[in-house]
Amino acid sequence: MNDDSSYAAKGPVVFVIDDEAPMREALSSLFRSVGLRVETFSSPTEFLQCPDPDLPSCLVLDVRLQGASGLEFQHQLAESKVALPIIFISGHGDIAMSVKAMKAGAVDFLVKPFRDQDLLDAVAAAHQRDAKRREIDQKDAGLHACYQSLTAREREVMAHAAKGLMNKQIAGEMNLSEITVKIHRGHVMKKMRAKSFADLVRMAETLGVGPKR
Amino acid sequence: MKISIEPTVAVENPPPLAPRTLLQRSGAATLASIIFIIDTLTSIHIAIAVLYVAVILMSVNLFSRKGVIGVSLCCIGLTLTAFFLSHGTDFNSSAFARCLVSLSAIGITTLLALKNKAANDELQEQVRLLAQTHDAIIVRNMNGVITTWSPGAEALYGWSKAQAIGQDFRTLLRPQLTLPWEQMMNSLIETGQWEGEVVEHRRDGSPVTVVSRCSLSRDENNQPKAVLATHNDITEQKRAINALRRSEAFLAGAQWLSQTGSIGLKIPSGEMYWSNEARRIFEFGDEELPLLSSVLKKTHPDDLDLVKTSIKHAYQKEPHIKVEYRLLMVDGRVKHVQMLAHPVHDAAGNFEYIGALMDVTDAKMSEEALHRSQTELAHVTRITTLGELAASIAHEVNQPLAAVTTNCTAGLRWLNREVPDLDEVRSAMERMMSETHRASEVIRRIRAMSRKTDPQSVPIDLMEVIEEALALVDREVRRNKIVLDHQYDIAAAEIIGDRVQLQQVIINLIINGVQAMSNAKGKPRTLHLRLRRSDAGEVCVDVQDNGPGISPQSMPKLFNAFYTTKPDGMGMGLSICRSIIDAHGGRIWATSEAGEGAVFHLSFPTNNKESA
Repeated sequence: MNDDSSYAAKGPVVFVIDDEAPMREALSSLFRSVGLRVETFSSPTEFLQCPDPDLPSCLVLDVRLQGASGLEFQHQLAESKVALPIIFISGHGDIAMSVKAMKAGAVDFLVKPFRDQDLLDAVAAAHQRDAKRREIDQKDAGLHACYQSLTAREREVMAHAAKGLMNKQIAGEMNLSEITVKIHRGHVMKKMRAKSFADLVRMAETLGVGPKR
Repeated sequence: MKISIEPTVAVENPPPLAPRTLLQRSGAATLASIIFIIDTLTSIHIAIAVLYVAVILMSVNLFSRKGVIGVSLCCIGLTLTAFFLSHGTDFNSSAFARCLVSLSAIGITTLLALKNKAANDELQEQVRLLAQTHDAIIVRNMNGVITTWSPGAEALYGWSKAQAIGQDFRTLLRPQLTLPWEQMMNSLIETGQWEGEVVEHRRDGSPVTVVSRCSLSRDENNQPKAVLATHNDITEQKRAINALRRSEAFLAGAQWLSQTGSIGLKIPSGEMYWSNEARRIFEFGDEELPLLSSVLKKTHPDDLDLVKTSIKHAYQKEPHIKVEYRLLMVDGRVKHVQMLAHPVHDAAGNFEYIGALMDVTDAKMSEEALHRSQTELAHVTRITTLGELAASIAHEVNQPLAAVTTNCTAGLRWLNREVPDLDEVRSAMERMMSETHRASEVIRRIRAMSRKTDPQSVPIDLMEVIEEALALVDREVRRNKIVLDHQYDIAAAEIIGDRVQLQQVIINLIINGVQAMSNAKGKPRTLHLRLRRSDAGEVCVDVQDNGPGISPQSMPKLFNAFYTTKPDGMGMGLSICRSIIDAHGGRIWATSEAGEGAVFHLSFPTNNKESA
């Protein structure tokens, strides 16, 4: 199951699920030849036992698997909030199936036998997507931490400010003096590490505390 | 003295005598006694004893030849007694002369009477014999009036003598001749004789066929006087001949219809007999003599040894000979014949083989045609089955091809690296090889299934057949999310048959099971395949599904051609399965309990070689 390679211990990982050993071996060889780390599994159950490597990764999944179908497994992953990019490979060029897979967020749907470059491109795209997702996830995680450090008053000021209210208006809304609002606002900018007011508005939007439009 | 006569008569004629004859006899005895008394007691000088002549003449019609002689001797004795009583031993007297005259008269009369009696008795005997024959003897005068009517005629026509005599012959019997009456009479008068078949009528009106033999009798002036005819009833004979003719005609008809001829072969003379139909089958001319060599000449060269062996068996007097062989006609046509012969012995110890020769060419041709169309149909259905499996089979081939392509590109990438990794290249190439082999195996199986060849009869292992079949349907089974488990209870299952056709049957049964379960939602789908030996020693295969089962209404029609429960089914699958299994001498049947799925059973006779 494990093709742990020494070429790129920290590089992106490709997970392969295919019930046919010859195909697993061939895919593993192909990915390793271009310096990718590969982990192969004969069934989704086996795959689920493997820990998340916390690295950009993707899943090459055979549509037709013994027991369960690949599409069902894609659905199952989405349900459990695993946002792993999936590339489907299939022995049948079934349009309905590919449409369903793509709608459910698959990176690509390749029909066997496929061109190696197509697969490698799809894998690269998937890795890129996963890296970006991981980056965003990380960023979101920092933003949340900052937001958590705000006091209740500061959060309220931030929300009003993000709506585009003037300090004077905020003071009126909150029954505070304009000075106090100004101080709170300064704290918010500092705590949220916002470089500009526009930056703060974007953050508020990401956090869902922004203006409701 | 009369008593001395009686025993002789009684011995001669044991039946009781008619009273009239008895009376006459006593009359004769009384007369003899009276003559004796007169001769003895009176002294009239005349030869009274001459009167004994009357007694002898009377006795002629009353006694047999020996009796008459006895009566005569009695009379002589009485004469001599009377002489000695009256005259003693005086031989010189005139009385003695008279006595001699009397004795001579008695002797001469006796001789004449006996001669006459002999002639008369002969005549009587002839009449008696004539009366005893079954032939009717009829005498008619030239006007056709019956004058004599024998007991045979009475029996034949039912008219008594009294009824017939004096009647016109033509009115009474209504004779029908094949030629005009006048012509017959002319021929009779001319030659004095005529003989021919005549249909006449009995008293009850029923017709009777007779052979009539007529002869003409003429008077002293050589004028035709009467016709003496004997009529011999040949109605039964005629009927028997007709029946024989009819039965011969029936036989000939039956032989022609059934294309069966008869052949006779006498052992050891080799003399032959052919019926017309046998001639027709052999295509011999009417004048060709039935010879064994001619039969051999028409025999197909390839079957000559077979026929010669059969002939040898016939000469060895085997009780039963059955042979099927071919004839080769002069124009190159081949006929298939079947011969069945058995020996017949007659009382004289002659030995003959009677054989029925049947032309089975047509049957053989139809059999071959049927066989051909069955083979073709089996092929078509096989192709259809492969068509149903097309998607699975395509995947089955595509899978290894995809692996080959991927391995190939991977290998190239390993080669193109700055430092090529040859170990990786080598293992990629090895994988390519094994995958290529896998793909070609699939293709080989399909090609074997789609091949159109005559069914073979070779020893095959049913287990191998099942394994091959499973390899072809494996993906189809998996595609339908069915778990197929198989169980081999026996180590070897060798039978005689055709690998491809048997594979077709197994595949068909598996696909049927798969399709039966494809609509079954919810419960796990399992197909169970079992190879086992029955208690009777047959090799059996059971294919069991857990689909909806077969309804009791469908059960009897299950193996009929064009019977299907599938919307797009052809209804040929099971029908073909059955004809294939039948051709293998096996059986196919199904059992099912509603809702519990169906089981299809196959059973094959064991290969004899294996059990030997």
